[in-house]
Amino acid sequence: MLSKPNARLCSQCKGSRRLCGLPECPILVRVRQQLKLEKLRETRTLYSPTPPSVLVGEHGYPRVRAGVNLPALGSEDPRLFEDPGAWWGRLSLYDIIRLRAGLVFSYSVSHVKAAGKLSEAVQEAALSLKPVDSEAVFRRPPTPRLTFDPLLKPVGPSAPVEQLRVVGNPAIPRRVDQLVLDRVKAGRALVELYEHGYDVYYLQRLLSAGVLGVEKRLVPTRWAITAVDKLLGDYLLGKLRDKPPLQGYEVYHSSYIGNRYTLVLMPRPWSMEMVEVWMPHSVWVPGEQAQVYTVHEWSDGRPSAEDGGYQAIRFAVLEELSKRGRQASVLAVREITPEYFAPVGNWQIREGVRNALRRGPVKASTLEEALEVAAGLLLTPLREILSRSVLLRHLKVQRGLEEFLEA
Amino acid sequence: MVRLVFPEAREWRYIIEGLAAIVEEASFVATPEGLKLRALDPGRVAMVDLFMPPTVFEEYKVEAEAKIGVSFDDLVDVMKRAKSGDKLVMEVSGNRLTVTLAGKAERRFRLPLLDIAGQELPTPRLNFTVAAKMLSDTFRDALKDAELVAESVRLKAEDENLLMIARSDKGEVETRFSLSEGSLMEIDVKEPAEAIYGIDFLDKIVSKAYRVSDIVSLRFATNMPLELTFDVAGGGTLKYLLAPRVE
Repeated sequence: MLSKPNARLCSQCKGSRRLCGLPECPILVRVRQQLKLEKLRETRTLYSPTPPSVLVGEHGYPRVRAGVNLPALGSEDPRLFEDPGAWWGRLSLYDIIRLRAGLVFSYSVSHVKAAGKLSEAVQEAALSLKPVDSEAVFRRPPTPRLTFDPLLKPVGPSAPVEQLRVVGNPAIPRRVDQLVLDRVKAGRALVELYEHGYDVYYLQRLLSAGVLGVEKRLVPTRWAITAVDKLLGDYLLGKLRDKPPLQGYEVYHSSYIGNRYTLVLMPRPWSMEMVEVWMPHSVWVPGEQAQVYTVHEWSDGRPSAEDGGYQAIRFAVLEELSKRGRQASVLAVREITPEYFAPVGNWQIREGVRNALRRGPVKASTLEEALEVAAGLLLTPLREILSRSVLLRHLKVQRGLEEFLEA
Repeated sequence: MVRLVFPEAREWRYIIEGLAAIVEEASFVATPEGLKLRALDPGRVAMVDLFMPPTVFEEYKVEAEAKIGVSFDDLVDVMKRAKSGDKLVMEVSGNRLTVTLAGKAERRFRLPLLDIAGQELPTPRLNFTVAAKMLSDTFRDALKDAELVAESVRLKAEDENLLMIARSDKGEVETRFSLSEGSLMEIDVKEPAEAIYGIDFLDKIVSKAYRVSDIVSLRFATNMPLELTFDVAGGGTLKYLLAPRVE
């Protein structure tokens, strides 16, 4: 019996292709056995507190699956099932998968615009800041399975519902209730709530559940996550425009579940580049050769490509810069090692960058010095990064116009 | 009180889009001599310089110098609503800019004026050694070609020729503009010059501004900024200055 899975194969297979040659995925079998997921096969009704956790699918848009995740197994505090801020740095990848496998996605299919009675329950749950008791009556028992996605947290067993009710009292902040009733445009509502101190994960949930905006509609959770990052990022960037640059170079670093973030902040007007390095044998990279992927933006704030991971980094960086009231040019290197054998959602990107920035910088007075510090933190050779970075090349060779304007 | 009437709202839309390529927010300055706007992009690599004398307007009434601070995102949205044949009226009173598109119906948009703190930018005094004139479409096409392989282009002028060269490990693209083949309308080379500019910026500028004028005038010198001028019918100019890359 294979006790420790081979990360290289698992990352390609994600439990569905049987690449290890065994009849069933040992990771999923272990999760299933530990959690006694098989027990779920007899479950027809489930009464438990949702953290709250809601999910709107994108498949079949505009007719999508929408529902809440209800803890079926495990005795943890219900909050822990959906709390990226608390997970980061504490739970192992396996802990997270195990935790999420114990949630039953209790869904119904509906049109994003014509939300019926079942999606009303989803919306009520989504609005709550605290866990709220809910009850699902399933049309058929949950299928024990797990699915992974780069943006979403792992999704556990799922079952269509006949009935979904919020039984407890959702804790809904008055301000939120007001914005929902007043049909304030979703963009404005999100900015206002963010300024009031609500975290992005709550805002993602509100947007996805379709409670915000003039015309309420469900938003597939994957889209909502990136939409919130982009919208708040743009908003924070707008506020930074007339702020001075940093005073020197700063290097930050963090590492968690096989994701290593190294950030170099440079004293320049805003611009940013993400260099994503999939180390050999990491998720989706079977070969011996590292795969490098880059996205950048200049001062105009328009990224060169649509990418959810990039937006998550951008938001976290802009959040910090805006707290300090300083602009910077940012090189963000994300290295993914084989240790990250299953993707658990892009919250780990956002939290990884937030944690790196929280830890404080190593300061440097020149770009060369800063890059040397970064080189010590990177697994990838610095020259590899230098050869791929459009931003560093730009900073090195692009002259500013002001030096020519002085008479 | 400021009241400006421009006969063709569409044309004004292209000018606004040309400005929006470089700046997000900026102030027009209306004086009795004309309407001006000069601003740097947020990355301080490019500058845009618009001058519209009273003669390009159907009506030009500016009693005292006035600053008109606008968000270009919003203004572009409004101007996109202009239909061909619409007349444009811009009025400033209090802290509002009123944009009227007058066609079959009179549509009035009121925008708040922004208070933009910005330093006065000096008029650049640069010694350009090369000046050339060509169809803006020709220049735009050459950029599109160069974009296929590289992120910057080298402009090189010698004798009666202007070369645009893009090079990377993907390959090389070279465009030759010359008087004899008709791709240049004028060229004046005081001394041979060579300079490199980022395509991102050039493309952003040219892909909008080519609609303002069929003809673009270029001026540059070795390792010096590039000046692109688009003339507006009636005597106005839309001018850009782009800092070079020095490798």
